[in-house]
Amino acid sequence: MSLWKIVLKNIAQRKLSSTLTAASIALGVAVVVAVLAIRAGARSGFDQSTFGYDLVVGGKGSALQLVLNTVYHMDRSQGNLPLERYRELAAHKAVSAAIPVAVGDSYRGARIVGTTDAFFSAFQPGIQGRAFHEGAFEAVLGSAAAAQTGLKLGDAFQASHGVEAAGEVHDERWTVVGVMRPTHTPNDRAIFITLDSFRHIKDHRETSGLSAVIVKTRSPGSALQLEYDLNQRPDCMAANPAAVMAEFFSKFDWIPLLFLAVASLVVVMAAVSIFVAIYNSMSERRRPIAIMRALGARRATVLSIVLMEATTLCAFGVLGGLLLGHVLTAVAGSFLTARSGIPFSPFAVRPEELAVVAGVLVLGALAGVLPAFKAYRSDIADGLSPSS
Amino acid sequence: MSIALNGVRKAFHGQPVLSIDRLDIPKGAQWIITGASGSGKTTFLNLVSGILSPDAGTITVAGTDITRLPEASRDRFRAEKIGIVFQTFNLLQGFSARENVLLGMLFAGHHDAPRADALLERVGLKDKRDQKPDALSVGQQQRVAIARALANKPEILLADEPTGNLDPKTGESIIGLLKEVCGENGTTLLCVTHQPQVMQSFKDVTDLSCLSGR
Repeated sequence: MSLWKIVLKNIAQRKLSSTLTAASIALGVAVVVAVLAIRAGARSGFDQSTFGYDLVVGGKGSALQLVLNTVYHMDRSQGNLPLERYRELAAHKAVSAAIPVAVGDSYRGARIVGTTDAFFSAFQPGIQGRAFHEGAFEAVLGSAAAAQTGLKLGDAFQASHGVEAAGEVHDERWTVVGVMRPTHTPNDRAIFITLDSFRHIKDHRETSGLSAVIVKTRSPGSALQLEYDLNQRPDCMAANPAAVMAEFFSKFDWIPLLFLAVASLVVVMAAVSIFVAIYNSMSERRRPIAIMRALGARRATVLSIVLMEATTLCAFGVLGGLLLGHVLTAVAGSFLTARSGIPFSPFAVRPEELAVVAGVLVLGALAGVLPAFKAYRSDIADGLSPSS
Repeated sequence: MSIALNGVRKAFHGQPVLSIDRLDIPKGAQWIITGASGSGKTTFLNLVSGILSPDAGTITVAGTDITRLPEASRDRFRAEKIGIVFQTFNLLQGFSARENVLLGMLFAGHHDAPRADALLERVGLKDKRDQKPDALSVGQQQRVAIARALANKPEILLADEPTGNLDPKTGESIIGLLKEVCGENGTTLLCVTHQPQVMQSFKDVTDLSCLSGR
């Protein structure tokens, strides 16, 4: 026999009330955990430093559109970059790699990227098979694109014009010569073909420029200078993907805060329901408390029992909430990964979660303070009297 | 002496309830405490057990003046030295017979499951130790309460109308059991009752109405 056993029996004796209270705590904690995890996952996923892209250079327009289109294979290309800019960048002393990108086609929903073997040299993705040979009608698939299209090594396919709706099918055929191992980047969802073969397509022959150029620089300082210089030109713009995405996210910071506020409200209401449930049960507990006191339990002991009960009820809710929150994260994360290629670790425990756990447990204990004090002050003789 | 009361006075809301100039109860005694309704029988037991404090006077129990102890020490003293049997049994619902006995040990700071089982066997409930109170007859519930009262090998066992909720035959067996187990361990037994048939089975009967002069 221990105080814990008494606490658990007290909780079990009020199954419905205890379950509903713990469930409401769990709901609040789950939303908090999921929002924190998805926010952290999205931020780290969009964190450009993991990609190794220092600058993206394209035609004049929106920096966000340029980054989304070139790096995340989303949105539309905003226009052509003159080919001379690419040549200029490739020869620039501050640039360690300049990777041309031409987009606008797709196959079964997977976007096609025309590029050169500089892409594979610069980022060294693991490839099952091999990288394409310059000039050949060959393709290397991202891992998710391979799964999405069903293409395997040796298969041939024909690209369609356009990226969002299936357009006209081009006459040219490409053979799959490699499938990249998962890179956990949006590149997993793309199909890479040679730039020469992309430009050979009848519809593209009249297009002289590129969609963008991905640039790796020799130092962060040189990236800043290069970005500034390029943005002075009338026919191109440069964007630092990390800075663009950070600015983009800062505009939506209020959304997770709103979720967190609502979830916090749910948790506070649940704590209030713990207080109400325990406080209301105090009149029916007068006798059991008096019996324990008559058997020698000190006032501090019955106070501890009530506080432990409130905290334990809260702990059950927290455990359920952590589990539910991570399951929610896994579900939402898999959806976001499928849409953006951004990887999520749904079961990674973040330091903020520990703070949430501690905070909610303290809240639970606080909810028990007043009922516990009532138990503390209860009179043994009154509690044992026949009318009790 | 097992229990000694000197100049004890107790009033509720200004109304005197108990007044005992001197009462000495020897160790191992088996006494009936009786009296008219309102004569302070339950108050007497609550004072001796330290549940209540007197307005005046001293109460010495097992060599300790419990009126000088702070409340937490009185609680501990009660857990270790005093067993209590109530008229309404006062078992904790939701706890098995065995757990109720172990609960009696918890507040004295120990846990002795074999002793709990032995006590339940001694009161004739060997096969009922896992039953909860609502599955036991009233007589069996009172037997569990006796086992719980004996859990910490008390020097004094206080019984407040222990047969008040029992039929005469069951009541007789419970009184017999109380006298037996207290006799075996040299435990002082104070049994509050107003039932003549219970009084007949004890040699020493103290009438609080006479003692208080009320």
